[in-house]
Amino acid sequence: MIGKGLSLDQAPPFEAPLRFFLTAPLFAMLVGIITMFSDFSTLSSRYSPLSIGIVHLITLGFMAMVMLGAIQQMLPVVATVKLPKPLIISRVVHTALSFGVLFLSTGIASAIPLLVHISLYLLGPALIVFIGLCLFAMSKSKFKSETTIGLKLSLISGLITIILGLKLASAYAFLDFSPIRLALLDSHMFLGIFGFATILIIAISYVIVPMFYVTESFPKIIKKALAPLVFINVGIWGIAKIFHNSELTIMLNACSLVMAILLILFAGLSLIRFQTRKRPIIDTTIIYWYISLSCLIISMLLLLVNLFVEIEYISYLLAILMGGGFFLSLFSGMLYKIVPFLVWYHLTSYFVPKVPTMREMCPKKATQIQLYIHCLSLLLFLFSIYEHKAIIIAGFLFFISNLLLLINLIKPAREYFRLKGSGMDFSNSFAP
Amino acid sequence: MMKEIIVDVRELEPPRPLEVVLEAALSLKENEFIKMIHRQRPNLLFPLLEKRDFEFIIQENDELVFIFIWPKNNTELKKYIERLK
Repeated sequence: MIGKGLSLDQAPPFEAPLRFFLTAPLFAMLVGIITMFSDFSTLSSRYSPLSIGIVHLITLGFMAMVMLGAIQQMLPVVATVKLPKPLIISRVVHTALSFGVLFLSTGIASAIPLLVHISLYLLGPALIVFIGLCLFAMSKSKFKSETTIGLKLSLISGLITIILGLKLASAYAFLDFSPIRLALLDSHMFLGIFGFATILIIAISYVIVPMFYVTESFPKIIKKALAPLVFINVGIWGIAKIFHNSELTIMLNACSLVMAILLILFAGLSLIRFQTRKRPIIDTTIIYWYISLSCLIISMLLLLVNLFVEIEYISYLLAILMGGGFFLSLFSGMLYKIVPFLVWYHLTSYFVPKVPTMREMCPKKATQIQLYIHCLSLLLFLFSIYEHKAIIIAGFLFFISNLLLLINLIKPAREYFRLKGSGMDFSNSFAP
Repeated sequence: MMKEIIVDVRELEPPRPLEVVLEAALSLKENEFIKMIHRQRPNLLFPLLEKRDFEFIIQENDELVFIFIWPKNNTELKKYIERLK
C-alpha cells in the first residue's frame, strides 16, 4: 500500500485534548476537599444527595474529562477519522462539561433544582453532540478493527448513559420523581461504569498496552469478543433492572456473574502481558496499571461474593476500589504517558530542535510521590469503614495527590508552550 | 547501487521508534532507503515523514508492519522498492 496514513491536519492540535487532561485533576481535588468536611455515614450511603454529587464530580469531572480528551486524541490514530474543528469543539464541550458538572453536583447535593435545571442545558448538548460527532465520523470510515468496534460500543453506551442521566437530572430539576427512579439510577450507573468507561478502556488497551509497553498483543478471540460481550451483558442488565421483578433477579445476578468473569479475564490477560513483556522496566505508569488491574479483580470478586453473602458497605467498597482503585489509577498512569508523548510529538512536528525526553518532562521521583499519596488515600478511604474519622485524612491526601498530578502534568505542558515558538513550522498549531 | 538500511524498532517504547527512524531518514545517503520493521502501524509517523519530504510504502501481515521510506521525488528508488516488495 502506498503510504497514505494520517495527515497532520487530521491529528488534533495539542491544545484540544490538553484542556480536558488538565481540568480533570481539579475536580478530583474538589472531591478531596468536600470529603474532608463530610461524614462517613452520608458518604457511604449510595443514594444520599451528597454521594450522588461527589460521584458525578468524579465520573463526569474527572473520568469523562480524561475520556473525551483521549477519544479526541485517539480517534485519528486508531480509526483514521477526523473530527471537524477540533479546537472549537474542545473549547465548547470542555466549558459546557466543566460548568455543567459543577451545577449538577452542587444542585443535587444542596437540593437547588435551578442549578440542576441549568446543568441539563450544558451537559446534554455538549456530551450528545461530542459523542454524535464521533459516531458520525466513525461511520464514514472504512477502517475497521476490534478497537474501533469497541470504541463505537463505548460511545453508544455513553449516549444511553447520558440520556438516562438527563432523565434522572430532570427529575431533580422539576422535582418529579418517577417510581422507577432507583432502577433508572442503577441502570445509568451500570451503563456508565461498565458500558462507557470500561469498554473504552478495553478497546483502547488493545492498542496502547502493546504500543507503550512493548507487550504481546491480546489474543485475537479476546479482542473480537470481549467488548461486544460486555456491551450485551450491560444491555441485558440495564433492561432487566428497569423491568425488575422477582423473576428477573436471577437474570440480574447472572449478569453480575458474567460481568465479573469477563473483567477478571481482561485484568488477568493484561497483567500477564505486563509480566511477560520484553523490556521489564518498572516505571510509575506500570505500577499504576498493576494497582488498577488488581483493584478491578478485587472489585469483581467482591461483586461475586456479594451475590451469595451480603457484604456490609459493598457500594462504598466498590466505589473506592472501582472508582479510585481501577479508574483513577489507570487514568492517572496513562496521563503520565499520553501528555509527555503528545508534547514530544507535536514539538517534533514543529521541527523544534532538542525536544526534551518524556522522562525529563515527567521526572520519576515526582510521579512516584504522587502515586504513593494516591495509594495512601485509597487505603485510608477503605480504613474509614472501621475508623470513620479517617475519611478526613483520606480526603486531604486525595486532594494532595490530585494537586501533585496536576502539577506533574503542567510541567510538560509548559515545556510545550515554551518551546513551540522555537520550531520552524507550526502551520497546523492554530487550526481551529 | 540501491542500499537498504534496516531499522528494527519492534522492542522500543514510544517515542523511540519515531525518533530512531526520523534520525535514520535524515542520515540517508544517495540511493539509500529504509526498511522499518515495527509491531504496529505507526500512524503518527507518516505526517512527520511527509513534512520532512519523505515518501513511504506500508506492507503488513498479521505479525509485523514493514515501512519502506525514501526521499521524495527519487523515482528510481521508488521503482526499485515497488519491485522489491
